[in-house]
Amino acid sequence: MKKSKLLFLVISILSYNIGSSQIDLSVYDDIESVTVTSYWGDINVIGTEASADRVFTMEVVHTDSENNAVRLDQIEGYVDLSVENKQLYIETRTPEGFESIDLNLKIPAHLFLDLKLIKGGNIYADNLKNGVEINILNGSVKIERIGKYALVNAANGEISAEFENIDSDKPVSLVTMNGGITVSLPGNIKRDVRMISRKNGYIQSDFPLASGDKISLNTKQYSKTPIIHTARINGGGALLFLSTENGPLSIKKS
Amino acid sequence: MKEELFEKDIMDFVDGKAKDISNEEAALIGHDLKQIVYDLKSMPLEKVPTTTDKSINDFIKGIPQQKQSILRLNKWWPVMVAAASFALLILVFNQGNSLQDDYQILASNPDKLNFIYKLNEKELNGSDIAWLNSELKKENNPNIKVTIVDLLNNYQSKLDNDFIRQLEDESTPSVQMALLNTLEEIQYEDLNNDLWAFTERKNLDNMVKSKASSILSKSTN
Amino acid sequence: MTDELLLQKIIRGETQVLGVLYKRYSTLLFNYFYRVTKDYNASNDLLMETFARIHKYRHSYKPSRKVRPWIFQIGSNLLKDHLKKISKTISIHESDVQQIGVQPDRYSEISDRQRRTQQAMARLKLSERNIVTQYYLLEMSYEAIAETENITVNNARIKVCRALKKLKALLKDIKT
Repeated sequence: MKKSKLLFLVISILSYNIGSSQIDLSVYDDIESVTVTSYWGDINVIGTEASADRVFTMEVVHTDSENNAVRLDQIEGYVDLSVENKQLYIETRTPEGFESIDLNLKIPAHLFLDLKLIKGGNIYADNLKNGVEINILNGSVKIERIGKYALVNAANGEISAEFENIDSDKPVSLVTMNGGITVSLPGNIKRDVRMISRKNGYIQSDFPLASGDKISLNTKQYSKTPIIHTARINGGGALLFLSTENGPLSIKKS
Repeated sequence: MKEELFEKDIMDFVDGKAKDISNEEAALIGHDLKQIVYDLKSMPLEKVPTTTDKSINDFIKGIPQQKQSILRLNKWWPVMVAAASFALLILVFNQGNSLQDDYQILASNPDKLNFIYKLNEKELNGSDIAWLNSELKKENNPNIKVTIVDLLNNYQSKLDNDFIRQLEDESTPSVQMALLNTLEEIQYEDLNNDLWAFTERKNLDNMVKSKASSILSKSTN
Repeated sequence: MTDELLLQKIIRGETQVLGVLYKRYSTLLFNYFYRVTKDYNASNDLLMETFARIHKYRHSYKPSRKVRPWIFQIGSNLLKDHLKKISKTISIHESDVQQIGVQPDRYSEISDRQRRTQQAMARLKLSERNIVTQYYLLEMSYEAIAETENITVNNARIKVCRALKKLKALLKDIKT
């Protein structure tokens, strides 16, 4: 039996003791990142501090084609767990008919998070200090209290991102096709900003944007023509890349 | 060929490189063209709007000044500069570092994205663009891909079939859309065939399909 | 101070000196953009973008080159990209032709012949108007035009010649 499968069996047994709705992942104490791949369903990830009661857990909710939602005690066959090179891989099964699998994760806040939602659902992540990379097809992305950096790519859905303790030399890239982008940054942040909104966009900014372009700010009037600008916040620094085909761009001071 | 020589003679005369043209017909044309150029050159120039002056001044003020390096120019300075340049040349020659070499040592996605974005500050040549096209094909991360396309958008006149064909292999909607936006501006002759095939793909995002179709309908009108 | 020394200062970080380069070249560049596009707003945007790019690409400037053609090349490349975007939509109506290229309050300053020449310019294709304006206004060499347009030097000379010949033919049609 593969090591990961054995561990999974142990976890399944242990989880019964913790509480039937939560899978205990604390056995994975020597990992640096969590990579989640899912098809349909919401993914919620909360970063927990070491002092927390339960630092590393997962809750899985399966909804079938009849819209019956069940918290799973046993995840085998629905969600696969494996470890390789200090990365924990969490992967939901390929959907059978219409079904969705929601994942509610609590992970140590220092872990790096890599999320891929192949079909649809909403993503929420909070208090992750070592950065996130998110790739989603259909659905919105909301991330809060994120540190280090973030790369978020969506197709149909808005992106809302709030950062604290972001690395001054790491980029933030928020790209979507259909939806607005809102980003909140600390007031003393220094960034080179690349802003692209091709349709129905406007730019709202709490920061003065220094640019060679004329930028109409805070008008809240949807422009029918592309808005494409490069500017600087507080003299400039690492990249803040905001791009949408359809929707406004908001840069807020947190 | 004859006509080209004829035109060269005319322009040599218009440019003042030749005082006369032996060919009578060319001479007549040359005099007329010289007058036209004279009339054009003597047209009064428009003033730049003061709002534009102000915008540029604001932009310049917004650029952070760097401290001047303390260079003590002395009689040995040219020698020092030459020696340093030579040493640097040897170092560069021995290292042979291209952009590609520098990029390949980067392990993380944020570092790669930073590197690509900073290339906006450089003037890229043909081999840089070819390399970027190949990276675009190999890269998995869509945020990096979109940044590469945004960079390549500055070199539209240098993009070739390698760039058009990126659409064939691309499955991420936001990257497909970025490619289409650039391809729309380039207006390649052969684009239509590739776009037709692209719009026939199964599971194509509606917004992407609509964009591709709109490019096609503009080009056939 | 020469343009080349100014640019060296900019490269070393004395970015305020960009204002001096702007004063020297803004009028010519603005008129180049305006005489080709006939669009005041677009010309403003192109002018600002040119100087933004001069700053952005300052490190790519090769000291062996003269600054003036380098700046004009940046402007020409920007205009080229702009023309590609608008080439399918732009159209010039006869009523525009009368006054294109000259603001109404300046109209009396030019001679009839100059006025007709401007009207004939308006009837050239965008690409022809661009190349002629590079030639007579920016005084770009055939080598510089060739590099910008991605053609041979010989071709650049021929294109300028043929555009001027076309102007000559158009002038015959325009009534005094």
